[in-house]
Amino acid sequence: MRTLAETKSRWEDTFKEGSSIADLQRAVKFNGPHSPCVAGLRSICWKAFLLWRDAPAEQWPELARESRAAYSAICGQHLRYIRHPEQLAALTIDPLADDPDSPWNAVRRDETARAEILQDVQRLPDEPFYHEERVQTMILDILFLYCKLNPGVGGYRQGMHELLAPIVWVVAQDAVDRATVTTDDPAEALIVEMLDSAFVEHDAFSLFSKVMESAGPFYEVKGSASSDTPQKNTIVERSKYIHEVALTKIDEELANHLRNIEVLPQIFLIRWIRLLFGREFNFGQLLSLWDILFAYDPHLELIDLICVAMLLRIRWTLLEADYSVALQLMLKYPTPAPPHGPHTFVDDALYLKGHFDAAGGVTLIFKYTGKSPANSSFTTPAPSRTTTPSFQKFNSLRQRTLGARSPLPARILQQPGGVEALLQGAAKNVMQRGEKLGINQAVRDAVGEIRRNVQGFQETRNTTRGARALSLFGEATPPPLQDHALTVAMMEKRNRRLAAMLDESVTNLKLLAASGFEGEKEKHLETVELAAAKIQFVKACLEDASLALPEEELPSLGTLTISGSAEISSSTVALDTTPLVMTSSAVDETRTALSTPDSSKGNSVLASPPAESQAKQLIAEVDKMDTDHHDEDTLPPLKSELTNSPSPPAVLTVIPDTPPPPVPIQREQRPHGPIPTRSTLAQSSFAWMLEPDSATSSLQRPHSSSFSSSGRPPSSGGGSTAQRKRVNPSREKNAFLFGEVTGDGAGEGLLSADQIFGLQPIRKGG
Amino acid sequence: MANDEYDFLFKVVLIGDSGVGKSNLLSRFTRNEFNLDSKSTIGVEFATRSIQIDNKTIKAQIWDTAGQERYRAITSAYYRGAVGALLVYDISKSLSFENVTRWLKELRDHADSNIVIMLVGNKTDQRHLRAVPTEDGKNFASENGLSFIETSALEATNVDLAFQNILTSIYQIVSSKSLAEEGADVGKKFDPREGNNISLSQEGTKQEKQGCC
Repeated sequence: MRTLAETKSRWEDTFKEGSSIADLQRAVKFNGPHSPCVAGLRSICWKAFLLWRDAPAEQWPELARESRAAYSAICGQHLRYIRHPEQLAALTIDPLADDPDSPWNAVRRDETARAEILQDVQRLPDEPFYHEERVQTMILDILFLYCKLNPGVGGYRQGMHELLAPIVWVVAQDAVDRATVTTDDPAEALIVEMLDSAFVEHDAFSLFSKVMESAGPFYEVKGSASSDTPQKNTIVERSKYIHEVALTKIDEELANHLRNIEVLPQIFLIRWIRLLFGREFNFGQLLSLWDILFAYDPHLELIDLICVAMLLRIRWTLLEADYSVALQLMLKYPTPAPPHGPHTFVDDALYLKGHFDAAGGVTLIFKYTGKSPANSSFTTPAPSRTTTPSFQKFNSLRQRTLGARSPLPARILQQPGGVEALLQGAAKNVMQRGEKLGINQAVRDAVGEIRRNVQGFQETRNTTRGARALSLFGEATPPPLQDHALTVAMMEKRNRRLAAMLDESVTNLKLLAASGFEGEKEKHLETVELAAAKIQFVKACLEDASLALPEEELPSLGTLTISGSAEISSSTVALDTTPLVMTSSAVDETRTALSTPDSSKGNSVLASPPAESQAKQLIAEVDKMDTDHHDEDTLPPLKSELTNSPSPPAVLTVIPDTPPPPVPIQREQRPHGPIPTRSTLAQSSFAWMLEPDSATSSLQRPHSSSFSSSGRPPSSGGGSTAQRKRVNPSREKNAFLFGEVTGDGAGEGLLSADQIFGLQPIRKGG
Repeated sequence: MANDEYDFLFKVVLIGDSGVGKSNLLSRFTRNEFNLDSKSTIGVEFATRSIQIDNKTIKAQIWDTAGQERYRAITSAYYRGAVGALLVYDISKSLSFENVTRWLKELRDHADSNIVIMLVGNKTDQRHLRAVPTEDGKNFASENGLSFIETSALEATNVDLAFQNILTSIYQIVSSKSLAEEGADVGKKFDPREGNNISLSQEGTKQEKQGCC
C-alpha cells in the first residue's frame, strides 16, 4: 500500500489540469504517461467518470460516504448468516423445515449461488492479486450481492467476474491504510478518507454496479428472468447490429467477406463485449482502454464502434482469411503495436461516431495500414441508411429521420458536409478554449446544442439524399451540372457568412479570455450570452437553409476569412465529398466548373474537387484526428489562432505528385435494406453445416452470384479452397458430412439415430 | 493462413458443466498443454488438430464453450455443423454427472440428430475424490447409445484416445458411406458448392469395417 506522501502527490497530479470532468477527460486522453489515471489516482478518475460525473468535486466525499453506507447496510442484510453462521445456528428454527422462506433454506440457496460464482473467481486471470484469499472473498461477495440486488439480470453470468476484478484491483491499488496514517491536515485527512482501504469493497461495488447498468444487457439472454426485456438487447442482436449495420456501413467489403465466409459475429463478439475487451489485451493495455472508455463513454455506447475499429485494423488479413483463420484471428486478436495501443480503439470509435460511413472507414484503414480499399469496394453510403451513431438510438433515429420533412432544398445538398465540418471545427475550438479557461457553461451548452443540431442536420441531409437518389433510379441521369455549380456557390456563400458570424462570437470570447476576466462580471456575462445567442442563430440557419441571413452581418466577413479559412481548410478535408447521385463523368465536369479561379478564390478548399483530393484528404484527416500525441502539451493544438496567418495545412502539400487513388465514386446502386439478410452460407465451403431447408434453397442460386464482385484477391491460402482444388471429386465430397438428405437419395433407408449410436460403441478406456 | 491440407474436416464440440475440464481437454489434445488455473471460458474457444486415420488426414476443429451456458446465447451457432460431441463430466462432482441428462437433451434439441456422442468422465487423477463410479458412467452410456471413456487432462490419460476414437467413429461412418456411394451417379449431387451434403444417416451398412475400438 502506498504511503500518504506518495498518495498525496498522486492526488495532486490527478487534478493538475483541474477537477472538472472535462479537464480529467482531456488529461486522460492526451497526457499519455502523465495521465491522471497513470501518474495520479486511477480509482478517483474512474469514480469521477462513472459515479460523480454530474457532481462538483466538493460533493465527492459526501457521495462516497453515502454509497459506502448503503453498501454496508446491504452487507448486513444479505451476508449476515454467511459471514456469521453461528447466528444462524442460534436461531430457534428447525433447519430441516420445508418452509422455503426459512433462513436455513435461504442460506442453502445462497451457498449454491456463491459456489457457482466462486468457481469462476478461483479461475480469474493470472494476476497474483486476484488469487489472494481476501481478494477472492471480496470479489465473491460483491458479485453475490450484485446478483441479490439485481434479480433482473437472472443471477451470476460467467464473465462478470472478469469485469469486476480489474475494478477491485484499481481501487485496492490506490487505497491507503488508515491505521498507518496520522495527520492533522484536513486536506490529507480527506484524501485518506476517500482512499480508505477499509472501503475498497464498497467502492468497487459502486463502480461495478455502475458499469453493469450499461454492460448488464450484454449478459442478458433469451428466456432469462427478464423476459419482458426486448430481445434486441441480447448479445446476439448487438453482434448482428455491429456486423450488419455498423460494419456494413463503414466497411462494406469486410462485412460482406465475413458474411461470405460465414463467420457469425457473436462467436467472437460475445467475449469482446461481455468482458469489455478484457481478454483481448494485456492487463495494462486494458486499463488504459478503460480509462478513455469511461472518460468519454460511461454508458458504453461506443462498444459497437470499438469493435468495428478493431476489425478495420485487421481488415486486410481478414479479407485474405478463410473461416477458421478469421475466427482464430478474432479470438486471438493481434496486439496492436504502439503507439497505437488498444486505447486508440476508443479514439477510432469516437471518430467513427462522427464519420459513420465508408469514408470514415477508409480514413481509419488508411491511417493504420497505409492502404485504402480498392476502388470498387469504396461505395458511397447506401442512401436508405441513416446516420446511426449507436445501437440504442438506431430505431428512434430512423423513425425520426424518416418522419422528418427536410427543410433543405435537395440541390443544396450537393456539397454535403461542408457546414457540418466547419461547425465541428469551430465548435471544438470554442469548447477547448472555454474549458481551458474554466468558464461558461453557457457556451458549452450552446456548442453542445450545435453539435446535436449538426447531427440532426446530417440526418435530414441523408434523408433528402436518399429520397433524391431513389427518384433517380428510373431515369439514372445526373442532375444538370449547372445546378451543382450554382448550389455549391450558394452554399459556399452562405457558409462563409455563417462562418463569419461564428468567428465574431469566437473573437469576442477570445477577447474575453484575454482580458483575464478583469473588470465587471456582468459585462463578461453579457458577452458570453451574446456569443451564445449568435451561435444559436447560426444553428438555426443551419437547421433551416431557407432562413435568410441578415445583411448587417456582412461587414464582418472581411475579418472572418483570415482565421476562418484556416479553419475551413482543415475541417473541410474531412468531408464526405462524394455526392451520391453523381456519375464519374459528372464529377469530372463539375470539377472543371468548380476549379475556376473565381470560385476557388478565398475558399478554395470548399470547392476542391472530391476525387483529386481524396488522398490528400485522407492524410489531412488522419493527421487531424490523431489524438495519440502524448506531448508535454496538455491541450490539443488549437488550430486557428487568430494571429496565425492562414497558411494552408502543411499536410495538404505533402504528396502533391502522388497520383490520386481511383475515384471513389460509383453510380448509385439500389439501396440495401438497413439489415441485410444473411443468406450466403450455402455458397460457402461450410455449406455442409446448413440446415436442410436453407441448403436446398441455395441450390436455386448460381454459385457466383453472392460473391462480391469487388475483385478482392482470391483467398489463396484458404484451407478449404486449396483443399477443393487438390482433391478429386470423391475425396472432396467426403469432406462434407451431415446436413440434408436429398430427395433423390437413391432410395436408401434412413437409419434411426439409435441404430447409428448403437453401432458405434467405443469401448476403450475406463 | 490455413495452408494445411486435409482429407476431412470434422467439427467436434465439447459440452458439460462449468469446471469439468473441457478447456483443458482441448488444450491437452491440441497443444499438449494443461493449465491448473485456466480461466473460465467466455463465449467460445476453438482449436484444431490434424490426425491420421487410415492414411487420411483428419482435421478436427474442436469447439469449447462456457459450461454455464444453459444461458447460452450462441447455441445454434455452436452446434451448427458439428458431427461429434464430447459430453464431459467431472468424476469428482456427482452434480456434473447428474446434469449429463440435461446436456444430452440439449444435444438432441439443437444438434444434428446423427451427431456422434462420447461420454467423458474427466479428472481421473482425483482418485481420492471420486464421486461417480466408472460403472455408472458406462451404464449411462450404453443405455443412451453413447460411447464412453474416462480421462485425465492433467495426467494426459486417455485424452488423445478419446479424440481419436470419436474422430475414427465419425470417419468410419463417412468412409463406409462413400464406399457405398461409389459407382453411383453422385458427381453432381455431391458438388459441395451447391450445398449438397452427405448424411451419415444414409449409411450404416458397413459397420463391420470399423476396427478402431
